[in-house]
Amino acid sequence: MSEAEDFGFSDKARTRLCLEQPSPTNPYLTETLYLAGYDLQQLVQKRSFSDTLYLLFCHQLPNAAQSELLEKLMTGLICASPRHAASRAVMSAGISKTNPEHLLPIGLLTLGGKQGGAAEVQLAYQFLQQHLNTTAELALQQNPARSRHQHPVPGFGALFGDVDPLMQKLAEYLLSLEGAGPHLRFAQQLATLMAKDGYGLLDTGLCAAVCADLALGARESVALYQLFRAPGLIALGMEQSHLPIHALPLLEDEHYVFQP
Amino acid sequence: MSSSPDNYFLWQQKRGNIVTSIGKWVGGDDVQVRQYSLLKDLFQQVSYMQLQVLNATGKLVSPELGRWLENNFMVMSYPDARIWCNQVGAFAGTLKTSPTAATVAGCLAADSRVYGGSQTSEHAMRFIQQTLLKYKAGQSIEALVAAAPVKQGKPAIIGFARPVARTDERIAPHQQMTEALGFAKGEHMQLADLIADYMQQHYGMGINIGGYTAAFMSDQGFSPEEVYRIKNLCVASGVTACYQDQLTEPEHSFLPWRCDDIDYQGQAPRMLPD
Repeated sequence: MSEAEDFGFSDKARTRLCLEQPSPTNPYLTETLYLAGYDLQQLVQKRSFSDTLYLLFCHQLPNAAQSELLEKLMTGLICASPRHAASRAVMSAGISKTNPEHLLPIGLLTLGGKQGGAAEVQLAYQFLQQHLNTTAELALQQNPARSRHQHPVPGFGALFGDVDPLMQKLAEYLLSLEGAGPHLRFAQQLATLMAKDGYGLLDTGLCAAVCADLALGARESVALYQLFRAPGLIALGMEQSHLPIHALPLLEDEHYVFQP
Repeated sequence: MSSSPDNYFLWQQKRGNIVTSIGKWVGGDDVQVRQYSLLKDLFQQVSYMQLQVLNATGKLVSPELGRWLENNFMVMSYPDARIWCNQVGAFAGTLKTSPTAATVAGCLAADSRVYGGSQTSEHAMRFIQQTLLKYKAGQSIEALVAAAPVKQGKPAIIGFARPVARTDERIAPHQQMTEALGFAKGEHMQLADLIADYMQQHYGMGINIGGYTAAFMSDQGFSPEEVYRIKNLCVASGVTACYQDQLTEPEHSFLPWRCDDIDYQGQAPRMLPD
């Protein structure tokens, strides 16, 4: 690296989130940690995990309606099906005795994709934001469906060929909450219009809509989706890790067809 | 649309079956890799890099191209813990993370749109391949550079200039290697040279290894997606080195920060509302 040139790198890291008051006797130890100005000790005593989570990203505490919406979304997404690709990945790792500390990263990495994974949440978030001031009909006209097995727009599509009834029910419940906002309502309008073609709201689209209503940020919503899905991934992987390796199917040769 | 078995026919077909062209392990006998026998056609006959490209793309490349890529990998990964992905390896070392997790975490860190050699190669290949079409259609180098987004008063073209140095020390050795291995300069590389000359003359910024690799691999007939798959672990060895370097060091001892080494720019301490 050139010593002579200034490439604009800072002397110090900066943050708007964490203020660490050092110990009077050791400048490396934190005596008091403030999160967006609030003492962590007070947050521990008086606020829920989901309220504190919201604080980390919005730098302010949620009101009661926002708090409820986030809490219910987190509960609704807490465990994907054991047949979901990310669950299957973590279950395969668990049964094959992967180190326990690797199970969650394996699940989250698998869950990171642009089609049905975390990266799609950002695309869905941006799609909803861009089209919020148009009508659902116009948004769909501008984004005609491609092949049957691709999502017509990010966050919306078919699951195993049909509308996902689980996400539909969750969306309807979340819509009944006081905190539901314009993005979630618009998402539901889109889903209703698409239903005739067998498409509906996917978990990624639902997460995007709620995150947008909570102003949690498009990029942030990617990782939050992973966080919301994490508990189920851990539980499914750990459950398999306690079972013998032959407790999951391994395909026989006759069902593995090689066609070079 | 009403639900019917036709809707889930595809999944019914795939349930309990794998149909593939990539290969097959026949326990106790052999392994097929595409149309090749691993033990009879490839083992001891091709390099690991040739096999990696075969698995990533389905193409069995020449020994010379395998050699080119192996040398290219060598310079994508330095044992210097200031580089972002290597820092990840070093931090993992101080926590005695497993070597696999540390290396994978570092490689993942380098899956970045600004550095790392895998995703950046994909972007750079898209640029050079699309730009060649425009150049052939009659656009000038000046116009092509002018069409790029501008950052800090200079064109931000992926594959040209670097975040921490003006001159890429890997270009000259790569040019020598490319010639020594008998590769002719293709049309993507010729265009890259023209852009590099223009950028050097007007902005003092030359081609970097991502731009050079993109042009070379485009000339070899690879797609951006194929090169992303080939190079996805190209920073691994440097990450492992930095991980290993910190393994025996005390916890949190790699580049430690004091509380006041972080510039806090947020809300002043405030009372939590009831």
